[in-house]
Amino acid sequence: MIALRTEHLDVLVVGGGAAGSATALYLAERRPDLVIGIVEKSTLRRGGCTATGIDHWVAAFSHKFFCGGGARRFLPFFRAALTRNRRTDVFELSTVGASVARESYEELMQLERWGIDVRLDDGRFRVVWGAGAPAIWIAGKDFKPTIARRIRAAGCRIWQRTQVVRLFRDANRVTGALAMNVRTGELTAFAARAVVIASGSSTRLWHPAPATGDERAFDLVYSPYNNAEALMAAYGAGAELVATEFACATLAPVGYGCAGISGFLSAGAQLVNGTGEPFARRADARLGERMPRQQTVQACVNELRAGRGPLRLETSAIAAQDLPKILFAWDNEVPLMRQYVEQRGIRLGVDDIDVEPHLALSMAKVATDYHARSSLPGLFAAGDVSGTLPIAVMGAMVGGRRAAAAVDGYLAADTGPLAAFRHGEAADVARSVTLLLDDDAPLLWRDIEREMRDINTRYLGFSRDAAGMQCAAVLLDELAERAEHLRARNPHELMRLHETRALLGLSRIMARTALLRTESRFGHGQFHSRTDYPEMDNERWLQELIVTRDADRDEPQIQTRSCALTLRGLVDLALSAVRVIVSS
Amino acid sequence: MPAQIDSRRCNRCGRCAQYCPGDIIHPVGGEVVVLYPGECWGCGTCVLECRTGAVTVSLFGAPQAAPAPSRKQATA
Repeated sequence: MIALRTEHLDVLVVGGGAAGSATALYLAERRPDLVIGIVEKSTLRRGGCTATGIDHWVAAFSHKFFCGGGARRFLPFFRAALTRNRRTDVFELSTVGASVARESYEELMQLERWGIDVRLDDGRFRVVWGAGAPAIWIAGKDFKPTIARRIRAAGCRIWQRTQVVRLFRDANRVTGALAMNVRTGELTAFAARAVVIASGSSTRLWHPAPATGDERAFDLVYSPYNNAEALMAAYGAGAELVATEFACATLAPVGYGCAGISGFLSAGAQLVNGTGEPFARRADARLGERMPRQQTVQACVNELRAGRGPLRLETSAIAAQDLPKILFAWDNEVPLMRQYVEQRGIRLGVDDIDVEPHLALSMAKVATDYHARSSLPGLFAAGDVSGTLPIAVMGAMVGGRRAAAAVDGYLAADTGPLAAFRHGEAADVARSVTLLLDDDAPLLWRDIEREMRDINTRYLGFSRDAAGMQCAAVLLDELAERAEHLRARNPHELMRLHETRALLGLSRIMARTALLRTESRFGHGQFHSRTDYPEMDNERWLQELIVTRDADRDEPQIQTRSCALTLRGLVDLALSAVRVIVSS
Repeated sequence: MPAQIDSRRCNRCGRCAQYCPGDIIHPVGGEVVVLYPGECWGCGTCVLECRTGAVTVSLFGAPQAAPAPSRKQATA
């Protein structure tokens, strides 16, 4: 029998990546009297998508960074946000994004106070223009180690190699969580007055390339260790989810799933197809390679479908003075990229890089309001798993600060007795977890996950249609029944088992919500390509699909919610526009 | 693709096992072992953390065939 410990906290932060770390730090600075716990599946020093670094800070809309041409460049974006038939984003990204990004400068200064170098030796910022947003390059190689030291110094309690597998609630609010040490199997019940989910995106839903074997199963663009356990734990407790139908697609070098290709495109590299044609201008005559990323990926998919592969990235189109920017980015974020080009014998600025489209992650999130509050009292979310704008570390920092402020307000207003934490329920769940350990496990997580990714890649990937998604829903339901028999031989496998089950649960939701959205959409981080509905339909589908769990039938309930501009969104947008115009 | 540890250069400090985000490297009987190579992301954390240069992540093994010439070279 595995022992169950109980820990009492004021606030439990689930996830020690950029957003969870920012939440814990902001909260510790606001309320040093609180007992704050942070739970991370790997380590604070190397957890999350920024494990080995981050190369830039998105500075879109921040008036402090605008120089000549800012208004000319960004006013069309504002216009698009206000013009219904030009909007590509359905979860109010245009307005929420404007408000989030408007805080970019202040957040960057906070990052500097926390010890991250954000300037060149002469004290200036290095501004680069990305594919759609200006960015400040930061010395992000030591981002996580530096932030981890800060969290320890702030007195937060830390549980590493610990995976949250269940959230607890009473009739009214979230009361804590059950977590497992993935090396020892030790179980801990956390009784907490508030819980913040900051567990990142979910990645292992599709194969990295259309036909790959197990040897590349974890060769993904974003961290394959970020998965849906906490998201689905929130869903299981009754929280609303949103954007479950959308993938986020990107390009990666053939044979190496990594971020960074967008940087090549920003720097001027051209995409060419198998006939040698630079096809991006055919997809978007005005923007070419600088079109939004999801549209770029769709253009690549179209080339491959038309038999015009393979696709290559022509690095010779990059201006010589821009090549150092790419090398700088690699050293800050993708340390093995230099090794990749060396092993392939690629001369940057001369040779081409073979690229392929990837479905990088699910955009599924815990639905949150402007203040990072979920639909469940006592449950908050920050970063990529929340409804705020997913713009890398900057979004994580803003989300963390908002979550910290919201938790502070929630606890200050909470004058009643502590939420009732049911130790008996925690013990029952802990027992059910220990029963999954079996030395003779007949069915292991990898078998089920491979089948799930087969189904998702075939029916819920780059090409979706009604018949395929209906088929996927049936197949995934059958797979979920078989997944009940999953067992693990040790705590590490038990961690993967929990991940696979959560991913399967999310896949079943995705099959249903993607079927309902009878349009195609390629917005910011919103890839949904239907061959039976190839056009974007703003008349009907400028709305979100909200998913909650029907506890009686254990089935997802799906509702639509309009994402028309709110008054707050309009004010944010107007303020951002004024600041840009004034500073240009 | 997965991380590889050169036992001749490894000083058994265990930093790679301590910080591997995927929990794929474990200390086993005084050695440090890539216990779950099929679950390696290739992120390079182990390479960054290793103080003796014992860990490598070989993306392709031996160098591959020469890359395709660029369009400009081909048409020049």
